[in-house]
Amino acid sequence: MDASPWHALLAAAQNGAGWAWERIYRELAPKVRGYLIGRGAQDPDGLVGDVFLQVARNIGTFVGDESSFRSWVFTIAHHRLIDERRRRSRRPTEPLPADLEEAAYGYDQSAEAAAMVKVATDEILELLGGLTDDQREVLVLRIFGDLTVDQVAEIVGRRPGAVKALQRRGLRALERRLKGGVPL
Amino acid sequence: MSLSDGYGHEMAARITDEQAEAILRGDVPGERAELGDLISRIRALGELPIEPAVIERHVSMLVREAAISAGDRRPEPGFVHRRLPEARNRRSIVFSSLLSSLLGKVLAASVAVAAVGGGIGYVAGCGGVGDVLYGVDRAFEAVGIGRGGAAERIEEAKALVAEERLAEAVATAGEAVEAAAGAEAAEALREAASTIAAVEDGDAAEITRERVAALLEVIAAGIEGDGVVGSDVAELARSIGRDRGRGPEGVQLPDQAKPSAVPPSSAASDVTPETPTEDPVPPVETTPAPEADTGDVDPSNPATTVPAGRP
Repeated sequence: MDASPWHALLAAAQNGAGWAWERIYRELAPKVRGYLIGRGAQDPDGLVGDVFLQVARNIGTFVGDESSFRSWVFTIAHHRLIDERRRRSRRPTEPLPADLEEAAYGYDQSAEAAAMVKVATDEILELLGGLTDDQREVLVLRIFGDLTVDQVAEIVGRRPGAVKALQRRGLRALERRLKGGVPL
Repeated sequence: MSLSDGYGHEMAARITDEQAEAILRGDVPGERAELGDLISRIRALGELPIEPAVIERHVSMLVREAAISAGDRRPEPGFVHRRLPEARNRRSIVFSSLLSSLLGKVLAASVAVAAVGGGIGYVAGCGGVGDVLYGVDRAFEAVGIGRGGAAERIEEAKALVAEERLAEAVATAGEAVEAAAGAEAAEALREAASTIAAVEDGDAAEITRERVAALLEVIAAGIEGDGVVGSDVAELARSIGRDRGRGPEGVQLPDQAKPSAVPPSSAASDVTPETPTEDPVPPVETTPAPEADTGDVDPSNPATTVPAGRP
C-alpha cells in the first residue's frame, strides 16, 4: 500500500469499496496468518477470519496512517490470539461457528505446495519453540507485522527497552539453536 | 550446559540492538548469514499466496461487514424532520437562554473565561456549517486537555466531526466525559447522539449542529475550569432531544413523540465493540495482556504486570 493514496484507500474501505478491501486483504492477510502461525495459534486460518471481520466492523472509527493501521490490525490479531487461548483452556474442543468455518481461509492446497509449506512450517515452529513466549511474540510481531519497536511495545504492554532486550535474547536463542544443530 | 550450547552462547552474545535491527530488516552481517536465512524463512511464512477464489469470497464478506457498519453510523433513511422558521427561532431563544445561564456559572469559575466565552459568541453568531464544525472541533480539543485516555477518544471524535458524523461524535464525547461529568451526563449525550442520528440535512440539522457545538463548549469550559457539572450537561443534552421530539410548532411527529421513541443509535456500540478482548479503535488507549515475563520486565512499569485472568 503506497503512502500517498493511503487516506483515499482508507476512506474507500470505510465506505465498503470492494477494491479497497481486496487490496488491504491481499497485503495484510498473509502476514497476519504468518504471525498467528508463528505464535502457535491452533486455528490460524479461522483466526485470520476473526481478525479481518473485526477490522471491517470497526474500520469506520480508525484514524491514522498506514503504519498505524498495520499496527492496529496486529493488535487485533494479538487480542484474538489471547481469546483463542482463553477459549481453548475452557473448551479445548470447541467447534468453530458455521459462518467462520465457511470463512476459514483456504490457501493454496495443492499436494506439493501443502507438503512444502508443512515442512517449512514445522521446522520453523520447532526453532521458535526454543524461545520463551515473550521472545517469540516480539520477534514474530516485528517480522510479520513489520512494526517498529515502539509499536510492538504498545501492543504487548512493555517498555521499548524491554522489547529490544527480548528481541536480542530471542535472536541469540535462535542462533544458539542453529549452532547447536537444530536443522533447518 | 553442553559444549555446543556454550559455543552458541559465546557466538551469539555479541548481538547488539543495532545488529538485531539489521538482522530483522534483512541487512545481515556475513558472520550471521545462517541467522539471517532463518529470519527470511520465517518471514516467508507470511508471504504465502492466497487463492483468488478465497480472496474474492472473503473480500465480499468484509465489504458486507464494512457496509453494514457504515450504515449503522449514518442517519436512519426515510425520516425528514421539518421545522417552521418561527418555531426554530423560538426554541433557539429558549436554548440560548438556558445555555447562557449555565455558561455563566461555568465561566465564572474558569480561568479560560475570555477564550471560551469568545468561542461561544462565535458559535452563536455563525451560520455556516463549516464554521460551526470548527467550534465543535475547538471544543473537542479543549475537552481533551489533561484527560489522559479521554483525549484519545476525543481524537477519534474529531475525525468523526471532520466527516460530519455528529451523532457518533457526540456519542464518543459521552464516553470521553463520563469520568469528568458523571454517568447522567454521559447517558444524556448518548441519547442526544441517538436523536441527532435521525436528523436529515436542512434547517433541523443546522440548528442541531449549533447546539452540539455550544454544548461541547460548556463541557470544555468546565474541564478547563473548576469542573464539569454533570446535571447541567445532561440538561443541555436533553434539551436537544426534547426539541427533536416536537415537530413544527410543538406538534408531535409520528414515531417522534418523545426522545425515547427514537431507535437507539448503534453509534456508541460501534466505537466500543463488545468483544471478549477489547479491540483497539485507534487512537484509543489499549492495554493488551502481557505474557509471563522472562526477566525483561521493568517492575516499576504497571503495564508489565499480569492482570488477573489474563493468559
